[in-house]
Amino acid sequence: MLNTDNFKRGTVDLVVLNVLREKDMYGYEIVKAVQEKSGGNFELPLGTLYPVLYRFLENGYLSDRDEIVNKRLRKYYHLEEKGKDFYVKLLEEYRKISEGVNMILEGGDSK
Amino acid sequence: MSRVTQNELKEYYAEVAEFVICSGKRKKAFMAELQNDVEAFIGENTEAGIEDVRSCFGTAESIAQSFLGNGDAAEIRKKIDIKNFLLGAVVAALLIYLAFVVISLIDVHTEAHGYMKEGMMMIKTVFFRGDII
Repeated sequence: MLNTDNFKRGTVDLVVLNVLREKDMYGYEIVKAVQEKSGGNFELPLGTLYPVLYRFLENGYLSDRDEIVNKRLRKYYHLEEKGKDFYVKLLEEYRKISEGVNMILEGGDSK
Repeated sequence: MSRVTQNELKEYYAEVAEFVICSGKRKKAFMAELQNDVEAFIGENTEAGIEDVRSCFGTAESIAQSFLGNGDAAEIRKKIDIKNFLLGAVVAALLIYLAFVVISLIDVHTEAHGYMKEGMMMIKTVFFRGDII
């Protein structure tokens, strides 16, 4: 479980930025979108999502706005241009690493 | 109707607030956002219990760990040390001030009840006696 958590932690940034490319979302909506898009294979507890969102806000990758929905304040996150650039960079890195790991694993299987 | 009681939610929020280490302003914003999202979750999942809330949002420990893991742990520790040092300095200053106030009050009280005057009078008396002689 701990290994799975560590493995997942490295990809959370990528996954969050990916779902926010589609539209502005609030915290719980992001979690649902991640779950849906991953076919339920990627569970992202909301509590662990907030620090990521706050870091992205600080770095200027995201901006936020408050909206009142059903008499409740809801914070929507918007992906900024800087965030889109960061996403592309992350995706490149991920693909490179993923390819490398696949090569290792496939090489290991063939023996 | 949700299965989660308000007491269970209050307890959960209190646990999270206790565990999470970040600035007061950030914590306030985070707690407000967490509560709003929990409400949205309960609204959509009317049969959800507190365990479902914990599962969807994370336990207090896991949330706290995410905050720590996200930032520089050493930096957070440094901030806590500075905060503790400042708190200690303020408490020490207050204790010194309190001691000063207590001593001053004792002096005022002593003077108001004639102890000091009596001493002065005795000196004067000795003086007068000297002049006469």
